[in-house]
Amino acid sequence: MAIARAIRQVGPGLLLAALALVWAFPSLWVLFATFWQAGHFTLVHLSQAWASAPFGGYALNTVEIVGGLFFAQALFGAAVGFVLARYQFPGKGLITALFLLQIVVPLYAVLIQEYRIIQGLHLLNSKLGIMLPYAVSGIGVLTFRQAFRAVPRELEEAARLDGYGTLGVVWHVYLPRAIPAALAFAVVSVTYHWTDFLWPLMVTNTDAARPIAVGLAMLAQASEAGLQWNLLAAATAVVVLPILVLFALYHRRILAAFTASYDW
Amino acid sequence: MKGVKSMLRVWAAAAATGVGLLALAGCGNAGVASGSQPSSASHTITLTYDYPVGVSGPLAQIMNGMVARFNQTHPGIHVNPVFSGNYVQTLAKVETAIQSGTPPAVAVLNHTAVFDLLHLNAVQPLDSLVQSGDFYPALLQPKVGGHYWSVPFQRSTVVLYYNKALFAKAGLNPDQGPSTWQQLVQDASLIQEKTGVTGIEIPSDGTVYWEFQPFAIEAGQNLAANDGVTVHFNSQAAETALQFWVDLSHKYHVEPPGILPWNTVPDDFERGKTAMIVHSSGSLASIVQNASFPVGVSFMPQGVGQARTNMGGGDFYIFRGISPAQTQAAETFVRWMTAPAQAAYWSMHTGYVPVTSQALQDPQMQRFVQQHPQFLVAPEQLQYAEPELSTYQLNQIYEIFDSAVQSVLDGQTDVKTALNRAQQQAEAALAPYRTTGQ
Amino acid sequence: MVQESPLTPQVHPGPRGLPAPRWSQGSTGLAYAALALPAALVLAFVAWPSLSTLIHSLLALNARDEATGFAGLANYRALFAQPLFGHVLANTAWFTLAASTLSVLVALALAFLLARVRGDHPMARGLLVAIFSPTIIPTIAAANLWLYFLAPQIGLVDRLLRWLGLGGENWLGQPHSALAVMVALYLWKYAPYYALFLLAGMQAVPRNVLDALRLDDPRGALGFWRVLLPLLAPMLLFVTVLALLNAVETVDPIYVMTQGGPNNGTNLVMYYLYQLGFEFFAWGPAAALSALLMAVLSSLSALALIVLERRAFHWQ
Repeated sequence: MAIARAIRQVGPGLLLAALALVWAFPSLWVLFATFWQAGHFTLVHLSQAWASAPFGGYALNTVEIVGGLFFAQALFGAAVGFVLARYQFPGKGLITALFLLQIVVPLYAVLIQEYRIIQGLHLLNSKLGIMLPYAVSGIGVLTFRQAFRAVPRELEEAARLDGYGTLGVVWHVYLPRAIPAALAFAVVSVTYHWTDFLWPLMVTNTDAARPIAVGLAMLAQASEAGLQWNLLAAATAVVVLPILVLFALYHRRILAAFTASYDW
Repeated sequence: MKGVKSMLRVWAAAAATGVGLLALAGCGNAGVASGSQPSSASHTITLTYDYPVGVSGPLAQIMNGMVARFNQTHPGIHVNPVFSGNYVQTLAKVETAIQSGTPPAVAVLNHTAVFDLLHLNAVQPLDSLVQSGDFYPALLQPKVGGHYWSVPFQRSTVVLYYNKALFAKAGLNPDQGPSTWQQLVQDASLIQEKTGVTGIEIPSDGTVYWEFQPFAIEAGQNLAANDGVTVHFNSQAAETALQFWVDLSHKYHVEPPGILPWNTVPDDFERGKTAMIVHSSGSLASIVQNASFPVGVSFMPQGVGQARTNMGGGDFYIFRGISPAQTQAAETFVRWMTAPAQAAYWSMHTGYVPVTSQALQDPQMQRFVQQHPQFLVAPEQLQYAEPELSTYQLNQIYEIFDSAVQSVLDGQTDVKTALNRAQQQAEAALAPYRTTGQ
Repeated sequence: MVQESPLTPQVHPGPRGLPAPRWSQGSTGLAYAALALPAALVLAFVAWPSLSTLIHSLLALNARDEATGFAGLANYRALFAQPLFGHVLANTAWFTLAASTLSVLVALALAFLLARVRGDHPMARGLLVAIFSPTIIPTIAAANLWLYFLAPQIGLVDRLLRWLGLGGENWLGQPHSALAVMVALYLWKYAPYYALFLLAGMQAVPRNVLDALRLDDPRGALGFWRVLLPLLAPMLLFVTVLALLNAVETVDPIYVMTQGGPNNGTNLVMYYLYQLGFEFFAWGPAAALSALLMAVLSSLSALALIVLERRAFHWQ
């Protein structure tokens, strides 16, 4: 009995640990192949990988694209979310449907025409060209709308009595209460755009605009033929280490925000 | 109403940020002079240069090094090298750029892309560049529409690599690879028997048609005529060759069954997992460097007639839609890259054929081939080489033929059915060009 | 339908169908002003390309993707006549079915395990980071690693199998095993992500329900089927639709690992669309495929959205 109970208590943990090992194996291998050579810790692979492609530029591009997109999506999401949560006006149904359309039609379904539009605007090979089709996020709108709806009306009324206009109310009352939702949305937005590949690949032609995922794919193809796996592993480490460290540091807050905001 | 104004002001600021970015992007995107490097002098001409990597080795690094040297030695010109994937991906990228009106100035693309590029009216004739060099004639075939459209650069042949140590161990003559198909099978079985190492690996993904072509040619007929619209996928020769491929795995058991990746086959060879491989001569430098045993290189073993092979690899193209000054700069760049010193350098570091006899006569190259006589095999092969499969709708035609071969290797279809179907599909795809294209 | 969880927001609009009370005192003008730019962006970059995709699928297109006239349904006929089309559809159907079913099941199992281990377990931190690492690694980076693990002879998987007396398998060299590898990669990548959604859904199950279940039914079997699953059903449906969507849209690992091969065994519809357009320049069939893809993906997304709206985001 005692054994059975012990198994029941420890079992899930052990099972999960085993699963975690399977899931983490590629990341662990990257660390091993990058930093370990002939029984020693080494930074040689990492510095070689760093020198083999303009990773600094790629990283900067990625930060600009991912950060810029989150900023734009949050700004637009908050504005539209607020209007949809708190206003009645003619055509609201239609407007709501328009923003839902952004969720309903994935960019990849209309890839070719989207490409033509960016081409027509002469935005090929630019970061803006990568970003524009994603600038407004329907999920962002829904997330903020939901968060704003949860704000008690008394707070808004109190703020108005204090003399705030609508924008002031939004800034002082609504936005602070939407921070967990914004954080949760950031997880969705950042993971998506950080890992996005085919669209940035198609839009970009040179290192000037390529984000890190595309740069890594290019490096992999260039060295794949020579199968320089250690170099490739180190390049992968360059790409994934920062985000892994960030996630390791903040995962509690991120996961908590996520589960709290998407507790449908 | 203050709110409305503030709101609009927020959007105006957002839009201004966007337009600001747009203006920044615009600099990098104006005309063909893409890339963000600011012109150091107002007279610097910027060229975008797209190139693929299709063989083993750190070719992108070697290429970037050469371009950097060109930029240093040519003050008025700045070339931006852009690595764009393998040959198919690079062609896709360049054709898309052409369609959007922003072609690169120069690109290395398959010699065989010429029909599609002409169909798009995308490239400039390069007759004077070609005629002023002394390129090997085999590299210039076929001449389309009476012009030369590309300058030979990273050209290769299909060769047979063999592990001399394993040959010696099995009691075979290590100075000579197998010279006939029959002998290939015998040697491979003997090695497997004596050493336990796999006999041979022939890659069968990526550009299957290319590794297959020498076998078809040796069996009597190339896969295509040189007019861009005629293919011979279901010829007797193709059938014989494909049957031989199947037999290597399933009858003689000297090759692993299934589809072998282009990229890992050289790796298997370097690690002594297989005694022989068929691969591009362009992989030679990397294979010699990575292998811990003496590497033998030989002609493809002969089929019915004498030993043959086929050409492969990429040429320089210069595109339409760039300014006359850029065209001139692009010609300077191409002339420099294919000049004896650079051609020899590229050849020594990759294994690609030295494209001119002057490059082969280059003193450094001569010293090099004395140490590494394997590098002479591909140039000697040139006189027996036939052109690579080249048509309109190139990528689709390649895909059709490669699928046919793979479906046979995979055991899904028999040789005859697969090749007949490929012929039908290719004819259907080429039909529009047959009537109007020429 | 579904019981409200204590965690859903306290302030609800009126019953569905009735307008929410209006109590922001700003003008409607402000509302329109706030909507102007985002709405314009959605019109330009979502609505227009959708419409344009439909229109182009009915036009005759040359090799430069320029319209040369009206084509009726000729593009659709040309698409169906493409030698690869049937093959690609079959691949996509198998892949989607296997990947989405398995990933949701694994996600469900993961969610239950994670729900038990959560809290301040000393190992929790490492476990969570480990399990969610695939979610934050770009597929491209992961695909390169998998390519290495699966390489015949030299790859870790083959070496491990040979150590067990098996092996010699060229996983990416045969159409069926290559497609299976793609399913495994999908599982590895997405199951934890879906588990996160399910975990969020489980937070919504009232604590007292869980406690009651634990007392009445220690083994949990009955409670799972009768109580938990129905409570989780909307979230499960949402995650399933999400899984289907992601499966149909799978393209990154194909581009890096197999380029659709071997013998087009891993050529899935999204990669095929890219290939038709940007490699074969068969713009007509590509336009038709794009329109069909849009119809399928939009219906799926709309379904997901309806589930969402009914569960939490009350329409308007």
